[in-house]
Amino acid sequence: MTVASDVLTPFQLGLLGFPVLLILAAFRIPLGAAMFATGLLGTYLLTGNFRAIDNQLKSFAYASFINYGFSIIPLFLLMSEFATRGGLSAALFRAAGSWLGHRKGGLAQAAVGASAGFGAICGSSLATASSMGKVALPELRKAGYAPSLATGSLAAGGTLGILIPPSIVLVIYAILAEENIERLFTAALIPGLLAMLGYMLTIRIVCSLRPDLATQYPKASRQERWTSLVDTWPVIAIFTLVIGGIYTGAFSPTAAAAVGVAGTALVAWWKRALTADSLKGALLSTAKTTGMIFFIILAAAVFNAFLASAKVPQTLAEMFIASQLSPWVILTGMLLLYVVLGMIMDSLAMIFLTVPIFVPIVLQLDFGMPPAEVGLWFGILVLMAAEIGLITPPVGLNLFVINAMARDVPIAETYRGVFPFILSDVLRIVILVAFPVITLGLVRLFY
Amino acid sequence: MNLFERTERAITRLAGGLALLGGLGLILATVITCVSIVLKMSRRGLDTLFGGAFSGDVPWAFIRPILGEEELVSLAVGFAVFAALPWVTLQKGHIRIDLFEQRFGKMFNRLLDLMGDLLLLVLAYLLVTRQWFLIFAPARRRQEPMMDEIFGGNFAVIGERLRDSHESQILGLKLWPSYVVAELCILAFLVVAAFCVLRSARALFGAGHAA
Repeated sequence: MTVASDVLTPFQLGLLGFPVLLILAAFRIPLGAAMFATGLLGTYLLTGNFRAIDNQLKSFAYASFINYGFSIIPLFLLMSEFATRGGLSAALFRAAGSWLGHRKGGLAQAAVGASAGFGAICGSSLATASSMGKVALPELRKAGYAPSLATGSLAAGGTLGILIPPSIVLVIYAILAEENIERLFTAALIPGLLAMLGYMLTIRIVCSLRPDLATQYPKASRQERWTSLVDTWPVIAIFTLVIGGIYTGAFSPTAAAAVGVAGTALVAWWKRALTADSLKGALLSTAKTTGMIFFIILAAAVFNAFLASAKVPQTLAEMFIASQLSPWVILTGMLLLYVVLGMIMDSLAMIFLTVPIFVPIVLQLDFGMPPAEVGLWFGILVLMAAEIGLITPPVGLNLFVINAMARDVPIAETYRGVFPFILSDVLRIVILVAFPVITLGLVRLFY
Repeated sequence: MNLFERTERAITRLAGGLALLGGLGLILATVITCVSIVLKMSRRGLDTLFGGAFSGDVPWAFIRPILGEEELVSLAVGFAVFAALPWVTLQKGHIRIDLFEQRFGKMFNRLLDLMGDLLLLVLAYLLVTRQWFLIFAPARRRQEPMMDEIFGGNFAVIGERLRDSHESQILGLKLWPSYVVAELCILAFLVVAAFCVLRSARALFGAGHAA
């Protein structure tokens, strides 16, 4: 018999975990600590003794920290640090600018293209936004682009850092949903490129509606174009090695991340950007994000063990199936929830809270595809929906990062500038929901 | 420099130094992986090019991927993760949802900071005292708690209860030293969490302004 069983069923107790957790989090208790404490307390109430939680406290940290699969996260973080310090964003922007700059709004499109290129060697949205912002924002302003268009396209472009593989958020989805990282990275490629094209198209439409927002550069000569493209070879080489290595199965994702660290470190060293001080800075900054992510991974393991022993995901899935709701309605509801939550919550926090509940439900629904494919497809949709949160006011981290660089631009101006890009995001998600083959085509081809 | 500032400096050195040591773990993991890949590729290349010329062992048989590469990498990266925990705590890097921060008012926010730090301290304490049993088996009936044995110097009992039977799967490495390192990192996490409680208590009760 358990302590709480005479009052509540385990399922009710499990559900009660959510309001408790959300109240703690709303009162600014660190999310990891809140999940950890709620999970321990819940498990204690369920079992009525300390055996289970003593065991979790003894072994969960070691098991989730010393884990070859999870080792990919610190390595990708360090790779992003080196990529940021290696000055590759400048080369990318110069190349994209010489190809696109002569069009109306072309320099803003170049910033988006360069962000996509940077996203191909960097798995973090904030790092992409800040390193591209530093390079491209002064140029865009100097060329006479309206502040709203400049900040909006850079904030949106920053999200390409996680949309285009490698992507830290996708790795975390893979851990939580027990999905295959190689396949998720494969599935993310075309939707990521679609995101880039969508943003470029958005800029084009905005500029044709409001020609005063942008200017044109003189056309670069053919030679200039090719030379600037050649200058981006380190990015192309690292991307080919890392992502190509993963796609072809030449090495495991973790090994590929280590190769990426070596590659970006070499480039940074070659550009004389790798001094003792900058190495120290890169390591400390990696440690900070690593500690943050792994503490939540540990806390999520404890919280999810509680939910699982209360049979919450399983019972919810049964309820949704019994409700006879159309799978598409449920899916739409989930994706809308991400967009709403994204306005007030960090995208990682949102993923840690929802994925362990949503994935078991989604896998039970009938979308006319095998569950293995549904898992991948849903992962990409979650990634896209959660990423919108980075550019929606009031709490859109990318907006803050870019706005902090343009001190004379009021944040409201940035909010206005990013709005068309949010529309583009929503439209892209609708397309990806309607046509799963866009996401799954490459996976079917490769595996 | 007052006592608090001196403590703060010492704690920052401890957490920062540990985080940097952990960073070296990441670099080590990178080197191990890359060397292993290079060895694997050169072996494959040599085998394809000249392998046909030898019937038995090839003369370059010593060139092969590093055995247990994955185990070594996960131990090195795992150390980096454990070592990062004190640093992120000291740097206030844990994710918080700051939706209502503006509306709460200064004092209430400081109180909440203190509550958050206290909860982290409690969790760190629980981790330290429970993860301990990874290294030493818990006391059974008619046995003393492990600490009493250690202070009593009963080495035979200590050795008996040291969990040295856990070994890694491929290399057969004894795992208890890694448990000790993990426990030390969590201990540093506890120390830093205690300092953070002190720091936010000072901010709440206004000692920070007097200094």
